[in-house]
Amino acid sequence: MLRITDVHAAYGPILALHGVTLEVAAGSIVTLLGPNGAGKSTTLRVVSGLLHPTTGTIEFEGRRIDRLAPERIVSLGISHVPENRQLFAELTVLENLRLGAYIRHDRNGIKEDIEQVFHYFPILNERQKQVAGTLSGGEQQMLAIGRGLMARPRLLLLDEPSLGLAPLVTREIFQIIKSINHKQKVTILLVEQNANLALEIAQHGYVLETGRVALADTSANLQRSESVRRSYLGY
Amino acid sequence: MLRPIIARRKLLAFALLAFFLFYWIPFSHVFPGWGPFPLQFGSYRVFQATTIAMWAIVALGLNLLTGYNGQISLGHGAFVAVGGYTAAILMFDHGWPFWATIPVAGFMTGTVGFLVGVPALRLTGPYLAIATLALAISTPQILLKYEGLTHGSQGINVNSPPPPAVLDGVLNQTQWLYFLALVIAIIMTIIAWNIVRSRVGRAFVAIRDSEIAAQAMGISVPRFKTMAFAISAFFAGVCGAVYVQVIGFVSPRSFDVLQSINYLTTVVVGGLASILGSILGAAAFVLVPEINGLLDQLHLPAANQAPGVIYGASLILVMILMPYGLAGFIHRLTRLQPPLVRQSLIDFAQQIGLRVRTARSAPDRGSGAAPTPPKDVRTPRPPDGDKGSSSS
Amino acid sequence: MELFLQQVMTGLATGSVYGLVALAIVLIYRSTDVINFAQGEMAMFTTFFAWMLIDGSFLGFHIHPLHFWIAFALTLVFAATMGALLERIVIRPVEGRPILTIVIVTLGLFSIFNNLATWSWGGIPKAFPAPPEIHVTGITFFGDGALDIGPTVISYHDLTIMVVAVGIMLALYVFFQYTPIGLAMRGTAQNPVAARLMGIHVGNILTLGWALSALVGAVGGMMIAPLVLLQPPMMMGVLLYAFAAAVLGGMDSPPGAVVGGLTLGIVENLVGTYTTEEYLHVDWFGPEMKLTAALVVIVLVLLIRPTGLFGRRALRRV
Repeated sequence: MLRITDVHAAYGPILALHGVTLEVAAGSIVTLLGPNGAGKSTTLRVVSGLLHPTTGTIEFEGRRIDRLAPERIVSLGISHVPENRQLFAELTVLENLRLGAYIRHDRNGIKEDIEQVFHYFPILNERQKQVAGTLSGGEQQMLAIGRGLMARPRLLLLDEPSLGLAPLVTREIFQIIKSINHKQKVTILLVEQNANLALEIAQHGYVLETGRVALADTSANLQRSESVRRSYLGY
Repeated sequence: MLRPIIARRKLLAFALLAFFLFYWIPFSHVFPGWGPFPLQFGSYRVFQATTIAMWAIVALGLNLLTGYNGQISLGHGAFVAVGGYTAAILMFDHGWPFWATIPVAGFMTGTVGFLVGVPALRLTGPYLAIATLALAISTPQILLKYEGLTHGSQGINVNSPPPPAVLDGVLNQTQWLYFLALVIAIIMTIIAWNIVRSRVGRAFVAIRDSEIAAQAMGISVPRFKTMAFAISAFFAGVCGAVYVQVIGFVSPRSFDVLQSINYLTTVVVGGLASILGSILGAAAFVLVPEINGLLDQLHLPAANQAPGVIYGASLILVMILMPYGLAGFIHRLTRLQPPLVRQSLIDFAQQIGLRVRTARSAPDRGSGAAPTPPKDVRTPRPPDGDKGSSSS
Repeated sequence: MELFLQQVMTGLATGSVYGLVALAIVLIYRSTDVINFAQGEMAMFTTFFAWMLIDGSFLGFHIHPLHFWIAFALTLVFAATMGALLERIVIRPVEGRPILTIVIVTLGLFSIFNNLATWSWGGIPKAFPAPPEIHVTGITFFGDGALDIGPTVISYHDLTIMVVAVGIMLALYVFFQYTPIGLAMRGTAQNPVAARLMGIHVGNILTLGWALSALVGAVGGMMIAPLVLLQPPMMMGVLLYAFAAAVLGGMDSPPGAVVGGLTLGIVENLVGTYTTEEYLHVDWFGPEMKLTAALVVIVLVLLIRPTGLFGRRALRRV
């Protein structure tokens, strides 16, 4: 579904990606692992259009998207839940969700999807009218994911959903992510520091190191791999 | 092996500059036939050079506050007024010699600046800008109202000081005032340069870039912010005193709001957080109105109101083409390498709306003033800056 | 007491205009962090446009003089278009640049509009009509009369100003709270990056912001012109009060701008009235200091609430 081929990307004079190649099959969960500064978030940014690659191509469902603007890419079916959530802090939960559906015009569908989000995250239902900035970290993450879903994406890019969250909450969220993938057939590209959890729900994994793909394998193999365990799982 | 060559070139440039400033400007008109106008500086041009030196002083001070320390001031006219009136009152009402009034005016204004800086600690960005604007607006009104001290609307007419006896006959009045302003401007430039390179200057920049981080590093933010106001006001006060000497007259009308806004424009156009920028800005400010004269000569349609339109249009053009001011532009020029040239072209194309877009940046604006000046070490920031994102 | 209430009433009228212009300023500031120094001049310029239509001339050609409200509506269209074009052509190239750079651009616009107006229409003040009478079911709206409200008398024109101002504010409120684009604008103002990820064309939003802002400013200009005579420097005093009002209310708070404007209008009037020789016998303060007085009030408020009465942006992530 998504094919990234030999992508190089830079922030001004600083090179962040040095030829990243990876693939995401439709319907799967693929995880990007790696240490800080490896280029994981950058990879997501390049897919969603926030950053344009200097060379290389990105194809989504057969069509090149590497030169498109983020607004356009959203309408093609890719939704990016950025690092640190990037909520609209002064808008309410409901307003954040509504904005997530900005590109859509089917009122009933939007209503249904909001209900769906509340189904996944009941706490958000309770806090509908609350201003997003006042939510707890876990709630904010839930809202961010919910907002990302509102665009009815076929590919969901998740950037470190576990960042700053308590372990229990993280588990909950990861279960929900798995559920979203399973029930709604949303393909997921998941960037994570928490390799353990990520590999549990993903089918495939890529390990990035200083802007390159160092390892690519099924998550089962990665979990078993000695080097991955030592470097990223801590044992 | 390269060093002696570079050093020699710098020395040469320096010598040329000194020659230009100390000899060519004031004395070139004495030698008719030494090249066409405008290479010869008649007394009007010398006077213009004098005003440039004067404005450079206040521009330096304002740049320290706004460019290096990040506090926007739209009210520097008030400080110049304090300095000017202090000098004028001392000279006129109390018979002080002119040279004594300059430092006194400076310190007096510096104190006022400090007093303004204290409440300013509470304000940032547009709030500070408007509060200082309020200061600028109130200044003429206050000057008019308290005429016991300020002689009200008639102003104070001091006579410009004549050349001292030892130089009498060597310099005429215009040249003498030129040297006076020039020397003081040079002294103030050296002071500013030293401040910028000192602990104080670094503290200023640290505070501008992130108050919280500066505080965490042990920098006393209130202390340095008020210091910035005080120093900046000191410069403005000196400028005011020099103004009195050069123009020979002060009145409330000399310090209207427009002046204050012009000071800020000068500093931004010249280049924030740049000593060179302050001087270039002052020069541009004095010389740009000359364009109208030029247009006249070329018989271009320039109705009476064209000056304002030309001024406005040139401001806009300069800011579009040189967002970091004249100094920033020069800096880029002197550092051009092929990849940077390409990047500059891409930047320019983007700026005028062609399809080479990268994401619109949303950088943390801090207290809302200066850009990352070209000279400082560039902290790499993703142009599509997620606020507070770590790199992964 | 009567005098007091009367002054408060008149103050509300001028305050409505300050509030409108302050609203225009806040609209742009909220979405772009830019302080638009040209706001007043843009308003003045568009008011001249309206005057042209009402007077019966257009770019030198004689046309049939248009009815006030038709000219009003056409001017709003003109203002919105002008605002949009300005954003596209002048502001877009410096978007993302340091804020002071953009501010200087607005100063350039200030100079251009001011001088362009003088050049096009001359410096002699022109009379700008107040909205004409409308008779509806026996009640006269607008026109030259006055209305008695208790012990005060309020002219129809002042009433019109307030009604129009309130109308615009309500319309804006509904727009921002209840329409998708309004919501998109609010979101974009808070987080432009996230907005792009929602599929919002941030550039178009900004253009819309400038268009709206110019429109609101135009209304302000047309409302105050009958009171102060139409001339190029007309809006400069208003602009100062508008800035003060925006800051007083909080630069990112539209209701704050309105409240700030009304407050300042009242304060200005009261200071003007009660510091004359009749009431106040001091040397160091008088009615000519009313602008200073208003500004002192603002600075004092800011010291207590550094982001204005309703402002909120004090949060800073490290």
